[in-house]
Amino acid sequence: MSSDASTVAAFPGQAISQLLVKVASRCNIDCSYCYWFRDAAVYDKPKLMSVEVLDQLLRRIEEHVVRHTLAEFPIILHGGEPLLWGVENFRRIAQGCAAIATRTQCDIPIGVTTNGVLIDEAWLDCFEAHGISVAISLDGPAHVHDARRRTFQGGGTHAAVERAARLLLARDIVVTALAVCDPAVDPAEYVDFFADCGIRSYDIMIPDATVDETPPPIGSFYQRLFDLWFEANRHQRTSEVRIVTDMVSALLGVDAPTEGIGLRAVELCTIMTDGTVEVHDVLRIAGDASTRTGCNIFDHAIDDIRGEPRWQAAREASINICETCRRCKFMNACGGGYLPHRFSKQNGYDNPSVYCDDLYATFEHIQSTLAEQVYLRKPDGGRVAVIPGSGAR
Amino acid sequence: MPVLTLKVVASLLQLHGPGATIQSDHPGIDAILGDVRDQVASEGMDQPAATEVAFRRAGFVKGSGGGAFRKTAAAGTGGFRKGAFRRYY
Repeated sequence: MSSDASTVAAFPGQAISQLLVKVASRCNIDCSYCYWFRDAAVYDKPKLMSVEVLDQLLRRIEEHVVRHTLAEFPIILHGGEPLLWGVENFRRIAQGCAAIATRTQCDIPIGVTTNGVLIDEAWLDCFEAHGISVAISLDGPAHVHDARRRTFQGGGTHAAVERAARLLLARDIVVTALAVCDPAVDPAEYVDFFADCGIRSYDIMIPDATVDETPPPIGSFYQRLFDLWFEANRHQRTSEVRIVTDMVSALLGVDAPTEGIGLRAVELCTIMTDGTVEVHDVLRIAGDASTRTGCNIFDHAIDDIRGEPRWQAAREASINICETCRRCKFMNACGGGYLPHRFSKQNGYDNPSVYCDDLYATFEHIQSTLAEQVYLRKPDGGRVAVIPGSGAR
Repeated sequence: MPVLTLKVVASLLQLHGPGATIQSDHPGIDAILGDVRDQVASEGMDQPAATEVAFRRAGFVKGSGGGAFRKTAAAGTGGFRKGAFRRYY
């Protein structure tokens, strides 16, 4: 596969298949690494999505799923801090989506990504009653979390968030933890913390950085994280660490489910609090208002974003990787790295990831284990190494 | 060391005939290989899947390549890849 016109043809367009909905543009805590407030344009947006915008959004969602006969259309409520929108608004959108699902036979699962600070019994009841999945931002142990996820007064938030995570786990609610990697910390600290909490599904995301920056190396962290995952799951499945399983999936030739791993078209879009439709949220790392388009849900269908030059440019950037990546043996598994990590002011997205060396080393490390662990079992019971030259065992 | 692709997997399976399976004795890897088996079975080997990717900053979702974190039968725990749902890609 090459990254040219033929590659683009290999990734034909499709209907927008999920929505990131910004229901609050402000946050109640002050994280040091937040990408959202790097773009001052977010302050131009209403603090909260109004009922008028919500009702129009529900109309557009129904129109969209009917037009494309979708079987499923996930909605992710996001911010800022989405819980600032309030329980009643969550109930309203959940009920609206449930009604659409009934009318259209399209499943519309709802998830929320929250810092967890506001979670109380009323929120738990809401999540449970409406089947809302919760991703809670929790950077592992307190000393790691509180170093970066702080209140506006400078205090830590870990105690409140850990409490919220434990409350969620005690209820019938789907819970995922989202952490951001601090490469100076032993990954075992994250792994042990999540195990102690009872959180079995989590991600430890690569810190955001562009090619114009010089972030600390992360390769050793992720290789050790893989080793920890490998040992923890050696005899039975005990945990799922999303970035690890994504990388394993990608190396095994299947599509990794999330945007950071693998060579696939990124076709995400964002609904803002005022109903405007923007390019994929994280690309605001490219500068103020860099995700803005001319689309809004009052005048445009959701899929109209596909005609926007900025949306098209981001999509093409996701599959048109740079020359260095096209020559790399991990091209398909890596996909050139997470799109924002490829950005530079000089070349746009036409760069290897700022973490290229780390990603390569990590894929190499995982690949060497897979070569020993994956085999083909023949009908007569014999084993054949899947990767020639490897010693399947 | 060459990188595995679905095409290689499918060719090997074809070479060894019906009853051949790709697998691992490591439960975590074997669970992911379930996706390989599904994808080989459903798509064959020729076409890269033009599927949507999911937001990195969200924890779920079933279908369309979300986070694959769905709750299994055990209450209060995170779900596994082959839990109560199936991904569609």
